[in-house]
Amino acid sequence: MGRPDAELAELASQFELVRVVNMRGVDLTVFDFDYDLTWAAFFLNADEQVYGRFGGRDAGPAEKYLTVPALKVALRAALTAHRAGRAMPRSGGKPVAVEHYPAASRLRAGACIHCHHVYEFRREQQRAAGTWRREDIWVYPLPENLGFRVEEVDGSRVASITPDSPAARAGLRAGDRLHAVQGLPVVSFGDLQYALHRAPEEGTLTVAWLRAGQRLTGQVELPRGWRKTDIAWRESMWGLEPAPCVFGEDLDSEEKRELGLDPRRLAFRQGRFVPAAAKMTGIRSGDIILGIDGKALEMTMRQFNAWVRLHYKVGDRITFNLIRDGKRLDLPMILPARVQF
Amino acid sequence: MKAWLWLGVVGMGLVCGANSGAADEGEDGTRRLPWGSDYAAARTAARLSGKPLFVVFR
Repeated sequence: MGRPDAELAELASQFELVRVVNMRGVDLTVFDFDYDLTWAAFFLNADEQVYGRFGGRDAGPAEKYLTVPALKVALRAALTAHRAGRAMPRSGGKPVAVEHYPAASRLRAGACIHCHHVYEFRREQQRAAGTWRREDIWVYPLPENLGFRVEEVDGSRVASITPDSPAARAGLRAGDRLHAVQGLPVVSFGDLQYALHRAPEEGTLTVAWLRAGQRLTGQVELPRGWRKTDIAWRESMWGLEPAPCVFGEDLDSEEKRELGLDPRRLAFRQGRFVPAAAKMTGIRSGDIILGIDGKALEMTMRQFNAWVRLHYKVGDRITFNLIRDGKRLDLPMILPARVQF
Repeated sequence: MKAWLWLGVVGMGLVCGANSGAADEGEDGTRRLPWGSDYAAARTAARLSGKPLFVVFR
């Protein structure tokens, strides 16, 4: 099965290790992270003051920023901060657990609560209170939205800058080492994404960085809509309304070619379980879904589900375009809020 | 060649009755580290040992 990483084991031995697989009882004011992640780590002291975070992702592979070399960088930095007594102060206030959200009571007693449930239950509560906004969808934005990328292993080092971007205009350059964003220390990609998550929707972002031993600061302007990212990978995306109620495996390039479709074109095979709204529309298992309203969409099935949720409203009339037994078919539907079987 | 992180998720599957989808495990990673499962106990241990905590959500 391979050898364990001795250096990682040695670093980890300087921590008390605990793995949480159920969000029940977790204080969300301490463990505030991107709840759609399937792996996320915190380094903190016994008083629950956080030294740093590790984990985070974009729409690419989930493990992209979860490498062992990157983890070692983060572990070393956390140990240094711990020994220097440098931790982020606790946010204060009463602890909040996911069980406090009314939606959690629908789960059977003792059932596992997954991380993404936090987003879903919180959204439901905000909707009931009339405080939810569509802008709340855009969590944990990416640095490339502001024109810079960081290295995958050394998450505080700037890898590239997009010319004439907000990051470029603020003075950031490739090779700079981020020190803090909005006053929050940055060592890993996880730290950076958290700081960006906490940033406002508009205004400017204060960034501090090191270059050739010199500490520099700059103000990164935040353009309108800067927080938007591809949310198709997010598990919590499925709880957004409205729901097109179709899902299945994307066709591969060969299958698309056989149907005379461009390989970039949206085309997926409706799965075995057809939700009630889709069934009433006439959609059947095995239908090849090409999109809606005659639009030539270049996306995956998941991206299609996210796209409909972002661009349509409950009650909108749409027409599914599909292929069944080699023939094109158009089926109208009124978009429901949720999937029901 | 980058080594990917993988956690031992068999225990998670048993606890949650769900397919974690991470049955494949790389050569390196955090799987073989001595993970505890009780956060409160780990916090107590951290107070006694003076060590920081490494908490993973998986």
